[in-house]
Amino acid sequence: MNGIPQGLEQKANEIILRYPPEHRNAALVPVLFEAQKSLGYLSPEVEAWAASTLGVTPVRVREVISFYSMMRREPAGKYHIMFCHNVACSMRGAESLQRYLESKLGIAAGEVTQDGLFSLAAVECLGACGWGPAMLVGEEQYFQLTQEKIDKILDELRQGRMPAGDSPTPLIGNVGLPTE
Amino acid sequence: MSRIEIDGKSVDVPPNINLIEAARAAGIEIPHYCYHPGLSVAGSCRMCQLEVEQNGRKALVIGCATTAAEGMKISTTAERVLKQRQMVLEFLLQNHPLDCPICDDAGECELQNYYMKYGLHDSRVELAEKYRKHKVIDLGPTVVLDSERCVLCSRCVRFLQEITGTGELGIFGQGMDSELLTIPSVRLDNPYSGCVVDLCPVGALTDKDFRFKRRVWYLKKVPSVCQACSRGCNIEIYYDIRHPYKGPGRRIQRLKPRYNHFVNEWWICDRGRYSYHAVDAPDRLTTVQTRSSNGDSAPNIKRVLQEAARAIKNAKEKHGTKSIAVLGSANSSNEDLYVLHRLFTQHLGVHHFDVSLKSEPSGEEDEILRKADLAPNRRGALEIGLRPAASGKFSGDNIIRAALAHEIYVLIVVRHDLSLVLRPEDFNRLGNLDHLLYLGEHESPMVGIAHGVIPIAAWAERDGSYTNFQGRVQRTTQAFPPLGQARPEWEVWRLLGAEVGLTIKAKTAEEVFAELTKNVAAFRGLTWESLIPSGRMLAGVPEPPYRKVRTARPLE
Repeated sequence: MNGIPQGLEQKANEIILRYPPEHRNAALVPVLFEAQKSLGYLSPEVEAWAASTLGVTPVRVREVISFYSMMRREPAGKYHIMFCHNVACSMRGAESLQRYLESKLGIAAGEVTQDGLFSLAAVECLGACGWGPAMLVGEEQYFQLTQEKIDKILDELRQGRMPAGDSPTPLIGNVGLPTE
Repeated sequence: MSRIEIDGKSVDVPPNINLIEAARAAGIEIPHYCYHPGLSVAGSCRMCQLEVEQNGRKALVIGCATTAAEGMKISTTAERVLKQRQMVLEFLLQNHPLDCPICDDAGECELQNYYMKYGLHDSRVELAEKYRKHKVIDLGPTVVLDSERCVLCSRCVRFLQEITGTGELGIFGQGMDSELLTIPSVRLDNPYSGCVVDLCPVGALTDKDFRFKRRVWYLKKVPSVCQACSRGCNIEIYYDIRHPYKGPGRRIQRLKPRYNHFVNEWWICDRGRYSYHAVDAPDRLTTVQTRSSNGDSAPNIKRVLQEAARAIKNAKEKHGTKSIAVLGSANSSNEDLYVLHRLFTQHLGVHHFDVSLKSEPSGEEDEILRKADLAPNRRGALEIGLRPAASGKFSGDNIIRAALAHEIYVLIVVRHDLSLVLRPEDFNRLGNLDHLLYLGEHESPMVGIAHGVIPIAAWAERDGSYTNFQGRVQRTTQAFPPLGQARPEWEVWRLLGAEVGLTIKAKTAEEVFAELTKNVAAFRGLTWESLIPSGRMLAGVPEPPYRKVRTARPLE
């Protein structure tokens, strides 16, 4: 179909096979996420394709997309940054850090940089309250953020490299929790 | 059966019914928005909360999603139940625009009704702080949405998924941002769209046909039966004749479905819903007309019928009863058809008669409600005997052919517009018959060629009974008197009978029906009263099995 890459069609068919044939529509959420991963956002063409592929109405597809805040109907930057603004991160300085990030990128939350490289979203809890401030870039997670750490991450991304994300386990000692 | 107690009253309820229905059976109304007996349970509005005591434990539950079980003690008036209702209403009204003065639903709005009964709280939200949503969204040809008024009960969404299987509406967003909407590429345009307006408990969905036309408290209603096809859906006629200056000529304001378990449940199609416009159409025939009037005094019905009677007697003497033919109408009531049959076939011995033409217009049919046969009483005509019984007698199309071939001298036509089935030159030749008597509701080319024209009352202007395609006899009720000189069709036949020596004693539709049940085997045992409220099957015709009215392909 129009504007849908071959690979995505194939991937969608694989996802659909995970569900009983009479509940084909259960594959709607994973198929939409796969489409968003490959195309960056969910265009009207993708919505129509998802509806016909899964045998649901276009209205149903829009209901699902509008329900989940991680689904986008507008294009995002190449690197989509989700910055936590919940209470635990805020208490560890996320508010000023978000302003720093915004000034560094030259955009506010909800916007995309002119070059299309970055987009920023202020999001609810990322489940990293013990290691805040936290953010996601794509699917990589970064914890215990500082201005320096943000500078380093952005520099690497600008050079086209995805810096390795943090894993919570080695950090546990840092906040004084008992380790095994 | 299980025995439960509602507000101290002991009631036996059938298995698998919820507490709203159980309370209804005990005569207690539980307030609710999202629950509708014809749709799946959503449990989203929280208005139907009740206190249930079972095995010594008390809890607040929602009535719609709780099945009645043996030994339950239910309170609909406990203090915390009343408090909950008040709180739920406060939430529902938190962002409500309160535009009742310009809202069509005012007067039949469940937000208004329940507020007066259970709410009565002072609003804690300033008007300026209210959350704004979209207003006046044109959803399709018949329905307008005001999503600010919506309480997100999702009845319309479920109707469009479960009953029509079309899914045009959805609830977009989450939490505080949830909004009933559709997407620009989708129009709410299916044959049952109008039902979402009936379902909407508030003024969010309004009908373009009724919007801003009349306040609901001016309306009166009578029970009736839809005339738009052979299904015979049960309806209510909402009319107003006391304020003619508000909408000149518009007596019926709207039709609404009326529940009938065996015919239409809670629904009607849009074709039926808007069919009432014909009753108040500007082209209604309101005066008796005759070709021989020549501008002298206005003709009266007696003179037109005397002319017809003279022509009938002449033809019978000169050419025999074979020279007379009647083309009746399957839109006529059982009473009309019975008197017609009695007069022409039993009294006058005419045997060329029918009500059907091969080329009658037909409608779309589906498995939900709509039938292709647009005549509401063809079954009744057949049962009464208005069909060509044996060879040598003419059916509808042959009657016309015989009339053109000079075999018929007197032709009586009810409602049919023969200009639709004949070439113009043939149609005009019908005017050369010895006599052509036409009975109709609306202006038609027939009026131009007929020797006598008698206007007849529309279905809403008279009492009557109709037999649907399954053989269910149902009653319509007169809402208001006929226009001008129009009168019920059977009265015309009764008057014509008097001119040709047949006395029919019955003076009302009810009396005609009583005579009909004595003389026509299929109607034996029925009484006028027994047809209210949901009709009766013809004698010997079994009740068809219950069928849930819905599409064969509901959406999941």
